[in-house]
Amino acid sequence: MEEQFTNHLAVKYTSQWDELSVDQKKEAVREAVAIFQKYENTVGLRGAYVTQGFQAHTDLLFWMYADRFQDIQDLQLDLRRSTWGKYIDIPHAFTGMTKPFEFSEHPTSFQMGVPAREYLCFYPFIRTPEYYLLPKWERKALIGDHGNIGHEFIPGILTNGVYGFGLGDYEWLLSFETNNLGLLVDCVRKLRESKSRLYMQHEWPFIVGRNFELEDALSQYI
Amino acid sequence: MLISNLGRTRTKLLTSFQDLSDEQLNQNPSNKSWSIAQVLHHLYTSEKAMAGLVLDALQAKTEKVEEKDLTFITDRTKKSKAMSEPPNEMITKENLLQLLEKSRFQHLQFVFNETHERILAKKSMKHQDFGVISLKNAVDLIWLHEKRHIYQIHEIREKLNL
Repeated sequence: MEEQFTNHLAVKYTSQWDELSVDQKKEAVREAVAIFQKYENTVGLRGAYVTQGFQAHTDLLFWMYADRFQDIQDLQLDLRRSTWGKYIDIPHAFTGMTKPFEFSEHPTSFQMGVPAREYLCFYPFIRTPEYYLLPKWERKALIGDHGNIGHEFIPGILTNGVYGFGLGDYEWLLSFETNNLGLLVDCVRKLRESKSRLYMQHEWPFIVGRNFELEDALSQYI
Repeated sequence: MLISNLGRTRTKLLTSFQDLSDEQLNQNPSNKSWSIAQVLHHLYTSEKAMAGLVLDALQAKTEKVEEKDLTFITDRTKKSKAMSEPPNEMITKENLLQLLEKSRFQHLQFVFNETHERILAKKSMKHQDFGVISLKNAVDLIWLHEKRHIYQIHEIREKLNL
């Protein structure tokens, strides 16, 4: 499987944003959109998610992917230098890599050419040290059990897991995509019954958002 | 490259008809020619069938065979007969998108949830046109076949001035 970098960038507007006039905000948004367009041949944007109503720590979440990490970083540095970038904080940022999983390929939905859904539920996690010291057959059984629960919800929920080891504080980065929030609740609830949960050390923050076209997403906060 | 080829070809396929209405998708260029909707339905049934064959072959004891270059199947000047005819009734764009996602994210994804690309290269199956081929080649046929039909969609659009 071809490896790619992914990045989930959470953004929160500062209080100074609200002091700008509508025209100033529109101009700042146009500038930010132009920066994404400048990188459109090297950085894919899976979605721009408005998180209003889900979390207080984040206003927007961008999900990007690219063959080279430097393209993602250059885009984000351009955003930080822009007018728009002067009015945001970045509460969270997560970089990952698409790689085959230990027991199967399990490619991400965006790599398989499946379009993004209306909602995204993203969360990073760390397993306990004990998990990695289990015999391979036991890990395989645990992952199989977890996977079987997830498969019950396909294609209503698309799953995208990537490796985060060494690229940040987390080991795994997971993105669920769905058009049906009720199904998401059922799926996450059901996954709590998986035995692999016994080896979950930490999973925070959950970031949920609604997918918009980029300019529309940015314009929601004007 | 297998996953990447599947994904990139699918993205091109979805782009090739995203601006068309239900009526335009169901227009036939002639009595003997398929509509774009029929082409898309054919891609759904083909992908679903191939994923099933690969899953069956994964369970069986099979040999490793040499990889074949099957890119010639994208050549539209070489005619081939489809295994089954797509339905004649109107199919909405929404339905077609659902079917394509079903064959991709339910059936084919299941293959990759079971195994790795490297294992697909080590196992084989008998294909009615190409003889014994590796399972990796069998999955290659999905995106190559899709590529062939993307050309067909462009031809239909040209004929219908869409």
